[in-house]
Amino acid sequence: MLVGIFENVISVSVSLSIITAILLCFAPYIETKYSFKWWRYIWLVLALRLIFFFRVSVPIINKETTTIKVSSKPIAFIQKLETGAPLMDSNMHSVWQDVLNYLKNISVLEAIALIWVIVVFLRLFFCFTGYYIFRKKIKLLKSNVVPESINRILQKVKGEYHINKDIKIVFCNKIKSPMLTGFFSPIIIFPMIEYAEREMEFILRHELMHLKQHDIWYKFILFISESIHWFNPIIRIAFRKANNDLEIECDSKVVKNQGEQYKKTYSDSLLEIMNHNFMTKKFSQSSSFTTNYSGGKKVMKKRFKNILDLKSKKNGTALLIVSLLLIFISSGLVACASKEVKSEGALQAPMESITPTNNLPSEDISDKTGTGASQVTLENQSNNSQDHETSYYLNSTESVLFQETTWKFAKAYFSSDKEEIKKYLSDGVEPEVWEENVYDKLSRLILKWKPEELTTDKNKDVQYEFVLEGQDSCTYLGMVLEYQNDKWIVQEYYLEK
Amino acid sequence: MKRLPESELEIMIIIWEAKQPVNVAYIMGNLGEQRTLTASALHSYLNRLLEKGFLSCKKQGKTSVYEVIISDEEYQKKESKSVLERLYQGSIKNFVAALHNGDNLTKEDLLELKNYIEEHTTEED
Repeated sequence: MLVGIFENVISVSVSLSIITAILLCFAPYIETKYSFKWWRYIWLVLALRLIFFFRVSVPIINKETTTIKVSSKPIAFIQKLETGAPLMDSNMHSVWQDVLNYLKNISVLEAIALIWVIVVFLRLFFCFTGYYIFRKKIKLLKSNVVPESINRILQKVKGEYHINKDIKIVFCNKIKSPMLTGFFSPIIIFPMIEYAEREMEFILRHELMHLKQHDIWYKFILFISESIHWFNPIIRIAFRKANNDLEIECDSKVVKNQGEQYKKTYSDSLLEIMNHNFMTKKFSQSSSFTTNYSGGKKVMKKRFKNILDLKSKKNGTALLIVSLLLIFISSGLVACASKEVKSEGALQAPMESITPTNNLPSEDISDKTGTGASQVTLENQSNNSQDHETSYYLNSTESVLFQETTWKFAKAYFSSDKEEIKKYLSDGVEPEVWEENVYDKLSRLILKWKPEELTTDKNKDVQYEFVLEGQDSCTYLGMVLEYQNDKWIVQEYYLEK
Repeated sequence: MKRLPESELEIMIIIWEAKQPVNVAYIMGNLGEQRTLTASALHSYLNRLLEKGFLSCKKQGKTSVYEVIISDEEYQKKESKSVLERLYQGSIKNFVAALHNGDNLTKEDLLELKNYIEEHTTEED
């Protein structure tokens, strides 16, 4: 399952990277014509699509066919859970053993997926704890020394921007430029610097504009998205730009509809404020969730240029729609393609005694078929009520054990492992295996059984449908198993074309 | 002459101590570790001081140069009298006692005071 998720993430990441790279290349041109508001929507949609990287498809469960996938590796572990055996004490050791075994037999892809998910969680963990600590530090700051002048300006700007939320202002001597923080209860942190009244007003206007635009939440979404796709440099670059664009957009909204003089004064104040900006890294640890005045010279230049830019820009709705469509399509298309490639679960015409079924694969199973897992195909013509029973049965301990046994048996058979196969054979049955180890050459291995086999109390007769690389027709490894002493034993087996 | 709020007073003190006309850069440089001001903030304080008549401003090329109009002695005189009247009911003894009780007078201070008093009481004779 992890591998599946990982593959999803990679495919979405790669497909969207292409569009992102194109956008980044054309950025300079776009910015001359369209306002920065446009970027915000693009980045937001991009981030959301990257977070919700699931494929946009719906699993189809058809009456005639129900395809259920059983992955045999964690079966033993699940069995223990099912039987309610306490996972403590002596069983702890075996659980740990199972984990170790899993890790030993891990495939390269699984290992990579594991590393990916660990890094994601580490990033999220460190960031959230950092933010938590940051908030604690803020709580210690005094908020009762706010000069009357600041409060007055605050109320005035709040009124203008129609903001009703309570905004706390605190002072801190560890930072060098003002910042806004807080998801639900906003706080503006001021450094211990005396600002002129006009500068104070600009600061408050800027920060309150951020608040009005819900920028903290926006940054949060971008952050989550970036964490999931930490390995993708294009996406990282894009989101860094997105954060910078945020400031630029904020500036332009503040000076919108104001005269040239206003814009100049604003720019001067901005410059002055930034001059004092030498942030101590420690305190601004979680600058992911704050708005601030850093960014480097290049970004600053861009900000000024934008503020003083007298040309009005188009909103670019048409272009926006086109780009959004492209994003959806490109990520959707790739997902479809990979599904087709991997989909081996299409039900083919099987044994003669069973009515042929439809060719509709269940979308959510077919894509992970490797030779390590067996697929259980149930051809069931009967009505819906039976579906519940069959599903129940297939997940029961006994059935799970059955599926595990058949799979291990088949594996031993195809791996040419006589010793292993003996374990599952009844006494007196001659252990015969494939001449050589062809297990890795199987391009298809599907367990098939008739509906009546599920409910019978007698021996179960099932077949593994398999195809070796290079062949185009199926062969069948039939098995008859009997339940003896809490185990399934193979009484006889045969090959059939 | 108006009483100065703390923020403006600190700036005046810097200019008084310079004992000559100063420019903005000088003031900024001497503000001390505890205090950080933006250029605009400083300008607004200086403007207020100009309006209150404490400073005069001259342009020297591109920079403005500020010169003292009301000296520190003048200010001290007026302010001290005001403090004494308001807070100590005009009694100098109360004032000194307040300092002494609060352990704000060292032995050296008292000696200095004694000498000053002797100097000035004998003169009157």
